[in-house]
Amino acid sequence: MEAIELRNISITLGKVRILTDVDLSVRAGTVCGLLGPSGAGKTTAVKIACGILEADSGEAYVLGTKMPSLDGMRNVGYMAQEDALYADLTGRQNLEFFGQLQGVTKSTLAGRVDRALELVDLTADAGKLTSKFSGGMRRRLALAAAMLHEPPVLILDEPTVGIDPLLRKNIWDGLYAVARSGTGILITTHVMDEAEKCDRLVLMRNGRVIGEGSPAELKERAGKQTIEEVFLELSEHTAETKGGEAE
Amino acid sequence: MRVRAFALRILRQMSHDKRTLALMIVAPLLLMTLVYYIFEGTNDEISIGAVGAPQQFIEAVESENDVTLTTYESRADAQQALTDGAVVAYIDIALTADDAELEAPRAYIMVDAAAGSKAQAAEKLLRSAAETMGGGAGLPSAIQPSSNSLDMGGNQPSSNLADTSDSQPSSNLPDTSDSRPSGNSLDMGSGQPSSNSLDTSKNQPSSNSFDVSVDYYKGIKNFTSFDMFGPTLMSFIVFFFVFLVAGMAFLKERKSGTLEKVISTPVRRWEIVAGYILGFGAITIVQSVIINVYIITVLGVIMNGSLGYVLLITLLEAICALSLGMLLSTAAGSEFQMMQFIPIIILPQLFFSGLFDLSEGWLIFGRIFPLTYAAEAMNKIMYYDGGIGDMWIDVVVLLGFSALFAALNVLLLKRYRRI
Ligand SMILES: Nc1ncnc2c1ncn2[C@@H]1O[C@H](COP(=O)(O)OP(=O)(O)O)[C@@H](O)[C@H]1O
Ligand SMILES: [Mg+2]
Repeated sequence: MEAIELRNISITLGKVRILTDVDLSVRAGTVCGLLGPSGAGKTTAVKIACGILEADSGEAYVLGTKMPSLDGMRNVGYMAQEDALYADLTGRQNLEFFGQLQGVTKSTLAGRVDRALELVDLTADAGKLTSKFSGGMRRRLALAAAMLHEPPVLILDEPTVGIDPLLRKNIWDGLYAVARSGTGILITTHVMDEAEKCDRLVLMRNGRVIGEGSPAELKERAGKQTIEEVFLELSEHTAETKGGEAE
Repeated sequence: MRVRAFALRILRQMSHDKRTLALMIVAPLLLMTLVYYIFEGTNDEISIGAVGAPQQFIEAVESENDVTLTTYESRADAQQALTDGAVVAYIDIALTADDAELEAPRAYIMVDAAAGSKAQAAEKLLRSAAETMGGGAGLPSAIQPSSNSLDMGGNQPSSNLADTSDSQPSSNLPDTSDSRPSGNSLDMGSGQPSSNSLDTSKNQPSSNSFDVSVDYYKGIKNFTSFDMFGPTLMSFIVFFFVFLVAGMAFLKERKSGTLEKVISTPVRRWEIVAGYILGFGAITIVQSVIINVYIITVLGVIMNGSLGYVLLITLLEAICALSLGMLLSTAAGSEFQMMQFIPIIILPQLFFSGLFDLSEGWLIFGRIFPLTYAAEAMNKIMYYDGGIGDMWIDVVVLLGFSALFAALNVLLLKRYRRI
């Protein structure tokens, strides 16, 4: 069973077609990158996957449960693109709140919070109000909030923006450790070199999927050295075929 | 569990957000204090009535600043004036034949307790004027202790029934009959025709001071302006600030993206609404206690009823305000739209809540606003010592409004997540 599956998703927001026939799947135990420039529709696609938005047509599944559903949401840890944090709570209080919403029991909450704080290296700052946090610290806290309840599916919307390179590497290591324990992870990014780190990639442009496969496969198929070149090649290809399905 | 998580979060946020806390607690206190000074300052005049008072007495009283004295033919007339709010107190020195046999002539003072500080001033003034009449300052203290029992025994038989019935203040105002101190009925019975009173008062005062007895009457017309507006304005100010703070908090939840994060969790829509009501409800309890106690004890607004009921109504009203605030902020697209709801939905409630004398048609229109019921209940308690039996309709209506707003909000939240 796939951790996440989008089937033939189309959605129109405010009279504008945002996504057209998007198919996407994430296998449990892997990290899947959703790569595309700003405005490609990545955020819209992941919101549909976690049940915040509903598609006009097509279906979204999390671990076989059709979204949106409360059962499906129990299994998802979602990190939004903009830091969804309460500025007038401390770091720890933010995590406690989201942990409680996710149904983490009282007896395990403190331990989970400690572990999540450690993963994102915020243990020392946990008692500060998040209004006093830097952008990178807020990003890390938001990531911790998504992982608190140790969900089998993680959906992270541009999680590493604004985080310095060393810490970024630590976070990727942490994510891989989580994935290897069986979690399916969907990460959006517009940074090409980050895409190289993913097990699988889905390339997206103008609300359509223009290519997918492992980074190595994609490069080999297109005969290119970098994912960036692959992306440009595929973009031109789809432009020529006037929005036809990219394989 | 999730409801509690929301409530705890709101309390924690509030503990870090001193400005919002001040908006909920300090701002209402400041506003009510301001209102107090505005209304109290408008009229310092103390109106006093007198029956059968000798010229000497009238002059003594009128020599005081800001005091006007009106003379009445009978105690019944004076009582009527008190009931109508024309005077805050009156003195009756028109005495019966029996009184001539007493060691000291009697003076009867009736004070409208609802008139607050003015009533106190009037009582003090009348007492001292009556006691110093004729200069026998040493005597009253010796005589007074025994005087009450003498009054009761001595006057009762001689009182004439027809007279008594219309000089009974309580008979004019059925509403207040139970708020009169018991035991006054005997004194009231001494309301007498003025037959020989003039003689008595002319003959006696030079040698003896008056034996003064004082009664308190809880009227409703003699409020200071602050008494008149206090309970209603208090209701409005609590309603306004709770509406504003809860509405803004909910709007901020949406604007900051946290609502989206919240609805990505398996929380139910009703749990969000209930959590907010619980959290802000808890803050509101603290707010109600502080504001009510301040207004009653420090500002001394009229308070004839029980504090417990006042708190109950304040709390119900605040819950109504916060569920309305949340509902409108869910409906509003922006902070600006939320602000627009204030003149459209909040201010009109003030006009219809009983602050002004409205025509029948407008009064009926006012029934669509929750604040009307809150102010009505508050007035029943603070003026007439109303109990749950008098205001259960208001309680039910306030609860009904809250439930309606909360239910609509749960429905409207479908805009953000269908399930
Ligand atoms: N609620 C909305 N109404 C109208 N247009 C929207 C809405 N949300 C997003 N869009 C548009 O959809 C496009 C894709 O947005 P998004 O999914 O955020 O892309 P990405 O995350 O890849 O940058 C953008 O052009 C954006 O302006
Ligand atoms: Mg995005």
